[in-house]
Amino acid sequence: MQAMKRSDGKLEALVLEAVNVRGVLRGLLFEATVEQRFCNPTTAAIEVMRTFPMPYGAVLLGFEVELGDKRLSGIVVARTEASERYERAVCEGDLAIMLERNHDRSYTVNLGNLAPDERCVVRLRYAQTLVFHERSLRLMIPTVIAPRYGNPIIDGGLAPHQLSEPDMYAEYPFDIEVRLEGELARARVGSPTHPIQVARAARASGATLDEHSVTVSLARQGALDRDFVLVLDELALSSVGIFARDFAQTREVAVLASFCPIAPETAVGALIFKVLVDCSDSMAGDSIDAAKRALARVVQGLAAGDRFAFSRFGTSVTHLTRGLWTTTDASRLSAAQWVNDLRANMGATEMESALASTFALGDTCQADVLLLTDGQIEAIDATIETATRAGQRVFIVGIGTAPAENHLRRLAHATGGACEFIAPGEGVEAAVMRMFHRLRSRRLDNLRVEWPDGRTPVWASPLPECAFDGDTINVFGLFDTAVKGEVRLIAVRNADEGEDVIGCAALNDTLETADAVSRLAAFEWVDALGDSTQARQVAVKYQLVTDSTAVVLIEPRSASEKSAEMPIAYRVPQMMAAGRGGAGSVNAMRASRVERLEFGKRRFMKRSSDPESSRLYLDALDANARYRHDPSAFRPAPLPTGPWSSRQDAARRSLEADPADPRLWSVESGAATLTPLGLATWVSLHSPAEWPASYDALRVIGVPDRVVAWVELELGDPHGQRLPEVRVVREFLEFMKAGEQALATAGALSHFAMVDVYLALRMAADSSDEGERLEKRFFRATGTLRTVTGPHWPPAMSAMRV
Amino acid sequence: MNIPITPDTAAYSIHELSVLVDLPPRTVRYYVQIGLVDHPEGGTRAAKYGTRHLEQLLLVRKWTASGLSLERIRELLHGEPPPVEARARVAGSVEVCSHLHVSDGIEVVIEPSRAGLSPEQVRRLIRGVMALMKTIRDDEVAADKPGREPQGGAPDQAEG
Repeated sequence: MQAMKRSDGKLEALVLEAVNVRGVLRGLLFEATVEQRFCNPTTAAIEVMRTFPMPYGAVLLGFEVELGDKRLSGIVVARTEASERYERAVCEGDLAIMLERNHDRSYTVNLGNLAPDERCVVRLRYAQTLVFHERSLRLMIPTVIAPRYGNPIIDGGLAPHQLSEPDMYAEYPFDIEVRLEGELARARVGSPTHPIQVARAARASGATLDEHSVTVSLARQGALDRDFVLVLDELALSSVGIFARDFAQTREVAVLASFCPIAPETAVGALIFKVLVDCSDSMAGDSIDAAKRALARVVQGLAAGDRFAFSRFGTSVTHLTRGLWTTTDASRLSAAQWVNDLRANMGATEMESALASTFALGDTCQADVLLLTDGQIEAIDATIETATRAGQRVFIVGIGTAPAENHLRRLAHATGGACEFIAPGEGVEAAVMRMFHRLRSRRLDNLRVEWPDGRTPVWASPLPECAFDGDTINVFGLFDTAVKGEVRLIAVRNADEGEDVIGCAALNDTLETADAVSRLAAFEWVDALGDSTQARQVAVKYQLVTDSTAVVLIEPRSASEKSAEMPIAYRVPQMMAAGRGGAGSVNAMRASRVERLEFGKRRFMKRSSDPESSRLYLDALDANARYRHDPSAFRPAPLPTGPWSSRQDAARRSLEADPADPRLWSVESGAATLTPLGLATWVSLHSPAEWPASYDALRVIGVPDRVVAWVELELGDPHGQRLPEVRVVREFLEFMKAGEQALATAGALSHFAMVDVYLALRMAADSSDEGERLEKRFFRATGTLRTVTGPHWPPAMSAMRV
Repeated sequence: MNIPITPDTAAYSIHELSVLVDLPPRTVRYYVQIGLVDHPEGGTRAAKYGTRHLEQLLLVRKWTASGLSLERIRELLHGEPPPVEARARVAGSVEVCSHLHVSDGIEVVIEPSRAGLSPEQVRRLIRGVMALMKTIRDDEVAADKPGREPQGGAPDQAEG
C-alpha cells in the first residue's frame, strides 16, 4: 500500500476510473444506465465504498456487475439479510457486492474483496417520471455530493462507511449521452452546466433519418464535479396516460396518468411572502451571485399591494425588518440595496433555526416563505419537521452546481410549496417568473382522481394536497385487470364554485411491456406504506432498493484466490463541487479536457486547458447570462495605447458598437449597467442637451440604482434639504465628464489630481445659496468620489442614509 | 441474544461483539479497517475479539454519539496533540497584515505573527504564489494559441 500513497496519505492512483451515463427521455419517463468503472491498483485486497447521488424520485430497476468476462446480476433482498450475506462473504474472503440506499436518499455501492489489479464495472439502471413546468422540462442528473453542514452520522442518519468527504485532488471523468424521443425531440434543448452537442440519430436500419430522435452528448469530456442539467422548452404538452404490464403479477396492470392542469387566467392576488437567503460560506462565489440576480428579479416583480420581508442567514439569522413591508418605491429601493449588499460570509448553515425565526415574522399573518439556498445541510429531517409544524408553504430556489436536490424537493413538497433550480450563470428570469406565477395563482385544492368506468384501483398513489397551474401531476394506479378510457383529475379551484375537472388523460390502447411503470408505481406504494413488513414485502416482490432492502451479489473465490486478511477500506472521495464556496468560478471557467494517462497498470488523470474556448449553447439563457458566458467578457481587449484622443475615440466607438464591453458595462443586480468609465464616455459622447435631467433618467441610460440613490441622497437631499433635481444631476454628470480622462488613462478618479480645484472652480461660477450648498455637498463627498475606478462604482455608494 | 461476558480471555466473534456494543457488524468491521479499533486475533474467518476491542468500541460509540468526527476520534485515540486553537483576539489589539495582491480578484492576506512565519518564509511564500499564478496564466495563454505547446509542469520553485 505504501507505494501508492500521496504525500498527504491518500491513494494516488485511481480506484474509480470513470462514470458514464446513457439515458433515454421518452414521453413521461426518463430511463438511464449508469456505468461506474472501478479497479484495484494496489497490491492488496480492498473494500471500495462509493456513495453517490441519484435524481429525485429515481427508482433503481437493475443492477449488473461485469467482472472480467463474467456478467452477474444482483437480486434485491431484505436489508438485514443483504448485510449478513455481504459480511459473511467478506469474512470468507469471497468477492461481495452490495448496493444500499442511504437515509439521505443517496446510494452506496460496496465492493468487498476486490483483488489486486482486478477490474469491476457496475451498471445501474434507473427510471424516473418527469415533471414539466408549464411548457418546459429540466432534467437534472446529479454527479457529486457537495460538503454539507452538520454531523452526517447524528443529523444525517448515515452509517460511518457511507460518508463521503470531498478531496481537492480527486478527479473523475464523466460522460453522458441522452436520447430524446417522440415529441421531446422537437423541443429546444440546452444545458446551463455543460457544453453539449446535439445530433439527429439515424434509425437502426441506418437508411433514413429518424425525425423523432435526437441525441444530446457532451461537447467536451466532463468531470464528476457538477450536476448535468438539460433544459427543454417550447414543448407541446397534453395530459397522457400509460397502462403497462405489472412487473410482479402479469395479470395485473399499472397505470400512470400525467396531468397538465392549465387554469384560466385568474385575478392576481396580492402576495404576502418572506424571503430567506442562505448567506453561509458554502454559497460564496457563483452561488451568491446567482441568488442576488434572482432576488433582484424578485424585487422587480413586486407589485402594488404585495407585502414582503427579507432575511438572510448563516450561523444566525438577520431580518431586514421585524414586520412585513408594503410595496412602495422606497421599500423596493431599500430591498434592492439590501440585495446588492448580500455577501456569503455568515458562516455555518443553521437552516432550521433561520426558518423558524422567519416563520415567526409578521406575527399572525399567513405568508409563504421563499428560500434561496444550496441546501447543503445534514439535518434535513429536523428542518422538514419544523417547517411542516409551522404550516407555511416553503418555495425554494435551489442554487449552485450541485444543490442538494432531494433535500430541497422534500422540504418544498412537505410544506405544499415548490422548487426551482438555477445553475450558476443561468438566466434567472424564467425560474423566478414561474415561482411568482405559482405564488400568485389560485391553489388547486381537494384533488381527487376519477378512474375509467368508476373502477377502483388495488392501490393508487396519494395526491398532493394542492397543485399549481402549469406543473404536471403524475398519478399511479395498480389494477387487477386491463383498464381503458379516460382518467380525470378533479379539484376545487375556488371555494365558492365547487369541483372542476382540471385534467383529462386518455390511456393508450396498447399494453406496455416494459417494467418501469409498474415498478415506479410500486416504489410510491412502498413509500406510502412507511416502515412496515408489508413495505419490505412489496419492495422485494418488485425488486426495489428501498430503506428496508438492498441488492447483494456474491462471487465465490477458489481457495487459492480467497483473501485471508481483512480488506483495506477505501472510501471513494467526492470531487469538490465546482464553484462551491467560492472554490473557483464556474462562470469564469473555460472548458477543460480531462485526459487519462496510463503508465503500466497505474492510471492517472491530467486536466489540460482546451485550445478552443467554450460557449454555452442554451438559448434559454437570458441576455445577462449570455453576456457573462461570452469569453470576450472575461478577456477584454487591452485598452488602445497612443495619444489620449485616440484612446477616447476607441472607447466611444466601443460604447456604441459593443454593448458587452466589460470596461463600459457591468452586471449589477441582474441588469446591465454603465461602469464609471461607461458613464463618463456616455456623457462625453452626447451633447449636454441630451443629458438626463432627472434621477429616473439617469437610471434609464444605465446608471446603477444604488449610484442614482447615492446621488439623490448624498448630493440632492441630505437631511431633507432638497436641491433641484435637474441641478444635482447636471453637476454629477459634469463631474463625471471632467473625470473621463483620468478614468480612461489611469483607471481611477483618485488620479484625477484636479478634483478639488475642479470643484472649487465649478462652484465658484455660481455664488447663489444653492450653488454654495451644492459645493459643500460635493466637497463632503470627495472621499467617496475619489474611490471611483474605471470599472467599479465604490461600495461606499451603497451606504444610504435613509 | 445472551452472550456471557468473561474477563480478559474473552473471545467474541464479530457478530457477538456487535450485539454487545449495539452497533451493526459492518460498522464494527469498518472501525477496525480505519484503525479506530485494533485488528482482531486470527484471520478473517476465525477472527476473535477481546475485552480490549469491546472497550475501544464503547469509547468510539460514546464519542461519535457526542458528535465527534471519525477523524477527530482517531486523533484522540492515537494520543495526537489537539490542533492549536486560534488565539482569541483581544479587543483593542492591533494586527498588522500584509495584503499580497496576486491578480485582479486574488489577494493573499498574511499575518506573519499568527502564521508563525519568518520574514524569509513570507518572502518564499510570496515568490511561490506569484510564480504559480504566472504558470497558470501562461498555460492558459499557450492554450489559446493552437499550435503552441502548453507550458506544463510544476510551478517555478521559489528560491531561498
